[in-house]
Amino acid sequence: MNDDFLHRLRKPPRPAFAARLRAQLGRQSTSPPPPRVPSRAHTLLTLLLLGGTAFALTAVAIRGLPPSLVALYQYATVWIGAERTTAPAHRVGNQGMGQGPRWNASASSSAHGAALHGGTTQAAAPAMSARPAATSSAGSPGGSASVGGAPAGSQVAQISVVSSWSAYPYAAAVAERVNGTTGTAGRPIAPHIDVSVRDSDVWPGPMCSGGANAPDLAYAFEPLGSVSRRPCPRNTSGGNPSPVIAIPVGYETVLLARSPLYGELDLTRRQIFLALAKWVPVPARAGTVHENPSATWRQIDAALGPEPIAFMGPPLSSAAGRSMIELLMEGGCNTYPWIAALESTHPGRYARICRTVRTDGVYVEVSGLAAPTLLAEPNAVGIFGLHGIFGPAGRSELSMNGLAVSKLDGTEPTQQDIQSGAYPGSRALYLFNRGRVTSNVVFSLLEGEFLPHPDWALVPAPMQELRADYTAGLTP
Amino acid sequence: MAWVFAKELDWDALYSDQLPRIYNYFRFRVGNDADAEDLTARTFESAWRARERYRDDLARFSTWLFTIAHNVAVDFLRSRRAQVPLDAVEELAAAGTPEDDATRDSDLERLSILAARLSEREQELIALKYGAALDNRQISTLTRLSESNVGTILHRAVQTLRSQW
Repeated sequence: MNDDFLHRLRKPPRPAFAARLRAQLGRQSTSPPPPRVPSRAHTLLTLLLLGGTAFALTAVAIRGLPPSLVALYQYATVWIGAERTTAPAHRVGNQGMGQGPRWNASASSSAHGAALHGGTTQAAAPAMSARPAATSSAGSPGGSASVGGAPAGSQVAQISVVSSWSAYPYAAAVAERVNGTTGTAGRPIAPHIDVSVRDSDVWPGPMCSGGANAPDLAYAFEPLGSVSRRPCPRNTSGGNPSPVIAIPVGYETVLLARSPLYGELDLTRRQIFLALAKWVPVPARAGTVHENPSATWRQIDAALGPEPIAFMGPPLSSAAGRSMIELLMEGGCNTYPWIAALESTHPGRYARICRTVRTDGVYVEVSGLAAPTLLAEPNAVGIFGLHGIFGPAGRSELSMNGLAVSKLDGTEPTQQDIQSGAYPGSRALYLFNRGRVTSNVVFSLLEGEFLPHPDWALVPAPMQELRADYTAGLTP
Repeated sequence: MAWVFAKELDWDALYSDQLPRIYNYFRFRVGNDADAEDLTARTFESAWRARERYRDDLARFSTWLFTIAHNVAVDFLRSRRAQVPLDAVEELAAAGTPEDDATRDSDLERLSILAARLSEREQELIALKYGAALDNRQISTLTRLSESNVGTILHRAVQTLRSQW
C-alpha cells in the first residue's frame, strides 16, 4: 500500500447520481433564498457606534451656531429620520442582488444556460415562471410553434417539462438536443425546453394542478398502455379542468442471452437478483441478509445447472446498467415483501440491498457487448439494453445472431410481449401533455433527430399508430 | 457600512469540481457508495440552502464546503454508532472470520475496516488526503493543524494501515 494505491481507490460519482443531485439543487433554486438578515448583535453594535459618533460630532458642531440654524438643523434631523424609516422599502428592489448564485435548472445548451444565468430580470425569477408567452401561444390550438421546423417569430418562449427521477436522463437528453439545435443565423428553431425533476409522481400531480406555473409536459415510466386521455381527478379543484393526454414514447427493455451451448435459460427476476446482488436474504432467517455466497446456479435453485454464475453486462453507471438494476434486480428484490417495505421505511437500506451488484467478479462490465463475445464465453449470461432491434418475426436480433435468449418469469421478450406489457423486463416511458402544447410540437419531440433511442435502451413505440390515435379523436 | 452579499458564484463549475471530492471524501469516511451518495447529497443541499451565508472574504469555497461535509460526516457516524444494535438486518461480515471478509471485500471496504482502528483524526485526514485529494496545506487550513503535523500524522496512519493490510 502506498499513496498511489490509496489515490486509485477514488472513483467518480455515478453520472445518474450527479445528474439527479444537480437537478434536485436546480429545483430548489426556483424558490429564492431568504434575504440575508444581519444578526441582532451586529445591528446593535453598528447602531451604537454610529449613534455615538454622530452625537459627539453634532454636539461639537452646533455649540457655536445661532439659534435659528440650530432650529433648522433640528428640523432637518427629524426629516432625515423620517426618510430613514422608509429606506428599507426602497431597498426591496435590490433584493435580487441578494439572491446570490443561481443554478441553471434546465438541461439546456450552454447558450440557453447563459441566458438563464444572466443578470437580467428574467434570470432573477424562478425558472419555472420565466415563460411569459408559453401559456398564451402554446396553449392555442393553432399555435405557431413547432419543434424541428418552427417558423420564425414563434410566440412560445419556453416549454416547461417535469420528469420523474427515473425518466430524467431521457427528458434531459431530449431537451439538450432541442435546445442545442439552431437554425439560420444561430436562432433557436424551437421554444426553449426547461426540465425539472419531481420527487413524487407526475401523474396526476403537477399535470392536474392549475396556475401559470403548472408544467406543459411531463415524462414518467409507467406500466404499458397506448395513448390515453386521462381526466384530472375532481379533487384537484381549481386545477387543470382539461384531460391530460398520455403518450407512450418507447419501451425500456432489458433482456438476457447466452451461448446456446447450455441451452436456453428461463430465469425469474428473483433468481437474477439472487445471482447478481451483493447482499441477499438469509434463507432461514427472514429479515436478514448476508453477502452473496452463491457461486453456481444450482446454489440458487436446484433446478438450474451446475455452471458457475457469470454475467457480462453494461457498465452499471450507463443508462442500460441503470435499467438492468431497476427492472431486473429491483424486480426480483421486491418479491421479498419485507425488503419491498424497506423502500419507504429505510430507503438507504433498500438501495443497498436491491441496487448493489456484487463486486467479486461475477458481473463483468462490458461496453458494447456483442454476440461473439458471449459465444466465446458460454457460461456467461449477457445482459442487453434493447433498442429497436426486432427482426421480421418479432424475435430479437440477438436470437438471430445465434444466442439463446432467456425467458424472464416465463415470458419471451418478443416485440408483441414487450409492447403489450407481458414481458416483465420492460416498462413504458410516457409523455404527458396537458394540452397547452400542440400535437405538432409533441410529435416532433417523439420522432426523428431529437430521440436518443440508441443511448437509452428504448424500444420505440409504433409512432405512426400513436399519431393516428392522437389525431383521430384524442386531441383535446 | 454596506452588508456584503455573497458574490455571484459559478455553481456549475464549483459543482463539477467539488462533487467528486466530496463524494470520495465520504466514501473514505463511511466505506460504501450508497451512504457516500446520501451524505454528498446532504452536504450540497445544506450548502445550497446556506449559500447566502458564505463569505468569500473569510474562506475559500472548498474550505467552507468541506466544513459542512465534516459536520455531516460527524453526525452520520455518531448516529451510525448509536444504531449498530438496530441494524442487525444486515449481517455484514457475520458469517466468516475477519480475514475471510477482508479477502472478499473490495479494497475500499477493506481499507474502511482497517481505518476504523485508527483515531478519529487520522481517519479524517486519510479521507481528506486520499478521498478528497486535498494537499497538506488545504488540510491544515481545514483542520487547524500545522502543515508539518498533518504530514506526520498521515505518514504514521498510512504506515499503520500498510502494516495491517
